[in-house]
Amino acid sequence: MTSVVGMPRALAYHDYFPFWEAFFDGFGVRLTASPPTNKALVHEGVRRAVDGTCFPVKILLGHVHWLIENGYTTIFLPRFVSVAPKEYICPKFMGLPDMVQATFGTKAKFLVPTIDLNLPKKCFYEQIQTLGSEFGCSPKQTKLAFRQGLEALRDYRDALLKGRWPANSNSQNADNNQPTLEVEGKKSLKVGLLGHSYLIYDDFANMHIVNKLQNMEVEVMTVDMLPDERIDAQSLAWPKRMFWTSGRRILGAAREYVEMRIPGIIYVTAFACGTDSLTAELVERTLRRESPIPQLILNLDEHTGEAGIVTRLEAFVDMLRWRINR
Amino acid sequence: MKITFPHMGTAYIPFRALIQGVGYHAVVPPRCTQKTLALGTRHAPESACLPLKINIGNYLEAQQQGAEGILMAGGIGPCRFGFYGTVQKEILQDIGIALEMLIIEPPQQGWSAFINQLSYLTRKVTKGEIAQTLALTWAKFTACDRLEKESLKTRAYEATLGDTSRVLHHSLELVDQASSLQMVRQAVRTGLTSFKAVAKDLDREVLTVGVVGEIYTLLEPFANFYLEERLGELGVIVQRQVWFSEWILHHIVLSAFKKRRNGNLLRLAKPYLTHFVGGHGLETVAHTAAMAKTGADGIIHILPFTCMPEIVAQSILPEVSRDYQIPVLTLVVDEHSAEAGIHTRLEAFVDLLHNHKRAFQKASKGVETFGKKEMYPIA
Ligand code: SF4
Ligand code: SF4
Repeated sequence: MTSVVGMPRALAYHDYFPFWEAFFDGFGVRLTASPPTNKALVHEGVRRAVDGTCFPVKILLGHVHWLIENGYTTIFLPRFVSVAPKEYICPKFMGLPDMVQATFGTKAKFLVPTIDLNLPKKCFYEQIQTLGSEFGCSPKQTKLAFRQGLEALRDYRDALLKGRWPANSNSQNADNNQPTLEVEGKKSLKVGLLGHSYLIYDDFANMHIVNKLQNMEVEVMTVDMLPDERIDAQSLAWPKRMFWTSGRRILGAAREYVEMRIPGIIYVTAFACGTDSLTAELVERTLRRESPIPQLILNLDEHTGEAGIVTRLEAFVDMLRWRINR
Repeated sequence: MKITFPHMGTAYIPFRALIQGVGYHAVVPPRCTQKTLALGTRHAPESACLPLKINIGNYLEAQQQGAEGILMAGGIGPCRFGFYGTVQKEILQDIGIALEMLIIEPPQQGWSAFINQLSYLTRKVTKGEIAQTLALTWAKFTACDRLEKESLKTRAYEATLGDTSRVLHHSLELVDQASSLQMVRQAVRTGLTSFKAVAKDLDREVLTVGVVGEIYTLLEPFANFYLEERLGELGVIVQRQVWFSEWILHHIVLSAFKKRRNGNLLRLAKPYLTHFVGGHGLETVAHTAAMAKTGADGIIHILPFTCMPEIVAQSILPEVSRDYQIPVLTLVVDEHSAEAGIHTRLEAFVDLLHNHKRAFQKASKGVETFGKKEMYPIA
């Protein structure tokens, strides 16, 4: 019998699920994600979060709740401390498994490997091996599974780079090459999105802004569609090296968008997000001084009204078109 | 150049000594007030955490007093503080304020850069003068902490409201004026003697409350609505768990040499939080358990709204509170917090702790059994 492990479709899921799925598959364990975020699920998360928790962590709590309610007895919840030397993701990622355990107690068994690439690589491999042995897997088998995972991750990133959307995101052309839109009378318009992957790829959380933009015949760029080398190079142009990985990629992408002469930038951020409160501020102030590119900042949480978002998006896109056709 | 710095409790005293010791004129910002906060809030991003906003207010008020440069610490994450200086610099630039920002990045960012920064700042003085300055600065840090610690014990028993605070302010002023190690020591001695001389009501039923949380809101009385003074007046011995001098010892001196810090204490957090989360998140959990073990009557957890490390701690504290049967009051502060509201909650909490204690004493005498359940509110 294959065992099944659940993974909340939130936070690190959006960057790393293909890796873990292939990895677990390597020793016959099925890693299943909770369904795409929906209203009921968010409600459950919000109820359980302390005041001032950021929207994405509330969403995660909702997903964990769903998994427990649906009979998952083992839940995979890695502790992501760092995915690159001298960088972190966010303090909350570092304490997330403990927050979840404090919230849900012993209702499920949580598998919590620590991913910390600030430490020597050896520690990371040890974590991976321990994970394998949890399922009675030999070191050799685990190593194979790990390679399988890396391959899947590479494929996933390549696909994102080529402009595909994750299969699970509800965007129109999920898993398809995004067509460049060239409609009569209207010039093709590109907009660069900035923001954490778990906001950009979670259509419920971001109120389907990707779909909405595409429906307005706007081509949407994401941070993941830019080559790592460009992001790395551009992120060095900022006065201080950013120690949050996602923040660093956002800063790099912002400058790259400017260099690519993308007509408009939309920064999608979550209410109460600590890292964005400073990253977005840096982007906004610096770009405003250095370039004429219009920026729109969308701050999302469970109270955000869809109508307001639509109005702001439409006004922004109209303004961009007007600027281009001038 | 006239140099200023952000306020954080009594730290202006050692900071002044440090800046003057290396040959600059120190401009201590005016005490934090609502006006400071309003200034900061006007210019800072709304979603930034509270300390950043008050810092901006301090800079602008210090600039009006003639400051030309700001001394600020950097950081290597994971929490926001490491980017405070960088963002504040952008904000000041946009306001059009000519204040040069001198951000000291910690040695973990690179020893050579660290040493370069320091030699730039200390270029006006000799090595001997630097050593003297560091010794005096350090002596002032520890002196301030020593005096404040003593005041926390004294205030709970004071017979006349305000006596302790008067002694504290007077002796801190002596420390501030001290120009030699000897004078600092003398100031501390005078202070301790005066604390002893404060008229006390030793029959007062006092409580012991541990105060944990984010360092800025713990150290800056304006940010915590003068929590320690208020609690002391209510007959509470406050045991603040974070001190600037200890912070320097652990985070700057020891961590630069990769020494392990307070391992025994952090072990207490293990069943609840197994990883460092930036700031004082882990310490908050550990201190709560440790305070419960030493018989504290309650814990107050204070944090700025959206503070990342402390949100982790806040989510976990209910468990610690339950296991150790210790009441915890959480105070989340931001620019919208009102002093009256905070003080009402403090008073209610102190009442609850008194009832709790009495009920517990009765229960242990076997007079009445005591329902513990509802006694652990997490507000
Ligand atoms: S980066 Fe922002 S949104 Fe993500 S977990 Fe941290 S605070 Fe929340
Ligand atoms: S500890 Fe909290 S309040 Fe202080 S800088 Fe970090 S996030 Fe902000």
